[in-house]
Amino acid sequence: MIEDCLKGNARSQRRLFQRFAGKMMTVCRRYACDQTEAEDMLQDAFIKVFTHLDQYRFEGSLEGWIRRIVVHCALKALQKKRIRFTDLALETEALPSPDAGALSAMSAAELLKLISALPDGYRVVFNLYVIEGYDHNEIAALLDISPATSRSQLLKARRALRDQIIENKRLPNQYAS
Amino acid sequence: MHHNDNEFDRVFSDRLRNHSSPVRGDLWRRIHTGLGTSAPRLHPFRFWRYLGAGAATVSVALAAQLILTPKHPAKSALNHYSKISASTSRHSDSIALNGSPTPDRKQPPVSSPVNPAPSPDNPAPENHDSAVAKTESPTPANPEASPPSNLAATRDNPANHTNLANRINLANHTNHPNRNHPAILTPTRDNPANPGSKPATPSANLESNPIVVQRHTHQPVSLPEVARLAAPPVVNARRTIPTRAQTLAGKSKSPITLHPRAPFHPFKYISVYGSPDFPNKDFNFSWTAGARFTYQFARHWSITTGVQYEQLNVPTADVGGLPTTPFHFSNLSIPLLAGYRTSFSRYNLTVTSGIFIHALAKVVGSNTYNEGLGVPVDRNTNTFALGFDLERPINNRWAVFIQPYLREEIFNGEIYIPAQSITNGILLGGRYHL
Repeated sequence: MIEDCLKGNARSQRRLFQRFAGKMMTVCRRYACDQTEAEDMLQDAFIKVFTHLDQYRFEGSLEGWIRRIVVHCALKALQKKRIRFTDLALETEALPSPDAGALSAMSAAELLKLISALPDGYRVVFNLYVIEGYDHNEIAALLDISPATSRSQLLKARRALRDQIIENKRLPNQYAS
Repeated sequence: MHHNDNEFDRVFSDRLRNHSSPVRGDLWRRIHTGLGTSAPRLHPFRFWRYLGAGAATVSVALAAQLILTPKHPAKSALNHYSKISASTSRHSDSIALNGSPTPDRKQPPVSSPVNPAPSPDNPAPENHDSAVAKTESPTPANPEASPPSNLAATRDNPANHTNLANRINLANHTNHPNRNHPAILTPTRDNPANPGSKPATPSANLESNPIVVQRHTHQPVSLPEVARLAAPPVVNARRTIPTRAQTLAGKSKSPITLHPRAPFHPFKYISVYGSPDFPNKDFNFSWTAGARFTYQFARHWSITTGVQYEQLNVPTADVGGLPTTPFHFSNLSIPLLAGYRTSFSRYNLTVTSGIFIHALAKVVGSNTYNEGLGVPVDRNTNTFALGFDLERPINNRWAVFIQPYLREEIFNGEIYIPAQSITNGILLGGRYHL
C-alpha cells in the first residue's frame, strides 16, 4: 500500500488515510481547542505524511511515524498562536486526586473534553508528557522552553484538570470529606 | 511525582492513546486537493545535477585555459594573415611586422617583399593607400616581386630606412628540424638561396615559409612586443633570431633576444587548513580542518588528496517531518580533487573540483526523536566539492591561501535532512612547496 501511495495511487492513499485518520484525529483533538482546528491540523499532517512517505524506511511502526508527524504538525500550528508558558513555583504538597476507579469510568470523549478546556500551554505539555511519553528535557527542546517551565506547566495542567473534575462533581474526591 | 499523579496520568494515557475519533467525510477530499497542489517529493535524479556541475567546472577550466594561455605566435599570425588575405585589406597603414617603430605615413611608398617599390616592371601605385594596402603574397604570376632587388633599393634609400626597420618578419622556426640553420631562419620565400619554393596558397606558403604578417594597427609596434609575439611557446634555451632585414642584408649585428617560456617541471605541495562552515540551514557554528597533498603534474592541472575532518553541529532538524534534538555529525573524509591552476603576477588561482569520500561518519549526541521511526539520520555519504583557491606566495617555499568552497552531499538514500545537503565555507591555511 505504501508503495502504491508513493506512486501517487489515490485509492491507496485514501485507504491509508482511512486506516489512521481516526486515531490521528484523536491526537489532533487533544492538542486543538476545537474540532475545526483539529481538522486543520489533521489535514496538514496527512499532506505531510504523503509528501514525506518516501522517507519512511519500513524499519519502524508506520503508525508511530505518522503519529509523530501529526504531533509535530499540531505543535507547529499551536506555535503559530504563540503559546504563553508561564513559570510556576513548584509546589511539593500533595494534590487532591480523584478516585482512580471513577476516573477510569470516564469515557474518552469526556476526557478529551476536559483536556480541550485547558489553556494551550497546559494542554500541550500535558499531552506530550502524559500521553506521548516525552520527558521534560525533550519537551523543552520541542517547545523551546526550559525543563522547569515544562514541569510547572504539567503541574498546573493536573491541578486544572482535577479542579474541573471536582467542580463538575463528576468524580468523588477521595480526600474530600 | 506522587503515586496519585501516576495513576491520574495513566488513566488519560490508556484511554486516549488508541482512541479513535470520527472524521468528517470531506476531510479526505481536502487532503487530496492539498496533495495536488503540493509538489510531490519523489526521489530527484540528482545525477544530472552533479553531471551539470562537473560539466560547468570543466567548461570554466577550459575557458580559462583558452583565455589565459598565450596563443602560439605562428598560429596567431597565420590566422591573422589569412583574414587579411581573404579580405584584401585596404588599410593605408597596414604594416609588415618587420621592425618596431611607427610607420611614417609621410614617407613614400616603401619597397618590400610585400610592397614592391616603383620600378618599370612594377609601377608605383597612384595612391599611397592602395600602394600599401595592395599587399599580396608573391605568386608565380608575379615573379618580379622578388625581395632582394627591392630590398636593396630600399636600403639605398635613406628615406625608407625607417619603414624598412619597421618591418618585422615574424618567422617561427620552432618546429623546423633545422631551425638553427641560417638559411632556415631567413625567409625562404624571399630568399634567393631557396628559389625553388613554390607558394601555393597563402596558408600553405606560410606554413612552410617564414611569415610576413600584416597587422591592422595604428599603434606603434615596439621591439619587446615583437619579441613577445614571436616567442615560441616552449624553447629550452635562449636564442636569438635576426631580423629579416638583417638576415637579408647578411648582417645579424643587433638580433632580437627572445626570452623563451620556461619549461614546466612538476611540483608538489602540502596544505594545512581550517574553515568555518556555513551550512545551508539548520546548523550551528560548524568547522572543518584538514591537510592535503597536491601534485601539479602539468602546467595547469593537478590532483589532490589528503584527509579532512568536519564537524557539523545541528541544533534541530526536520527529518521526515519531525524535529530532532541537538546533535552533530563527525565526519572524516578523503578528498579526491582535480585542480586547474593559473598564475597571475602575485597570486595563483586554482579551481578545484572533485569528491570527498567519507571514511568515517557518525552522529554524536541525542537523536531520540528519530529512534524507532525508520528514519535514520546520518551523513555517511560522499560529497561533491567545488572550490576556488587563491594562493599568495610568501617565499619560495611557503604560501598562504584562501579557498571559498561549496560542498554538496551526494545522497545515498540514508540521509533525510535535505536542508543540510549544501555546505559553504572558506578554507584558510598555509602551504609548503616540497
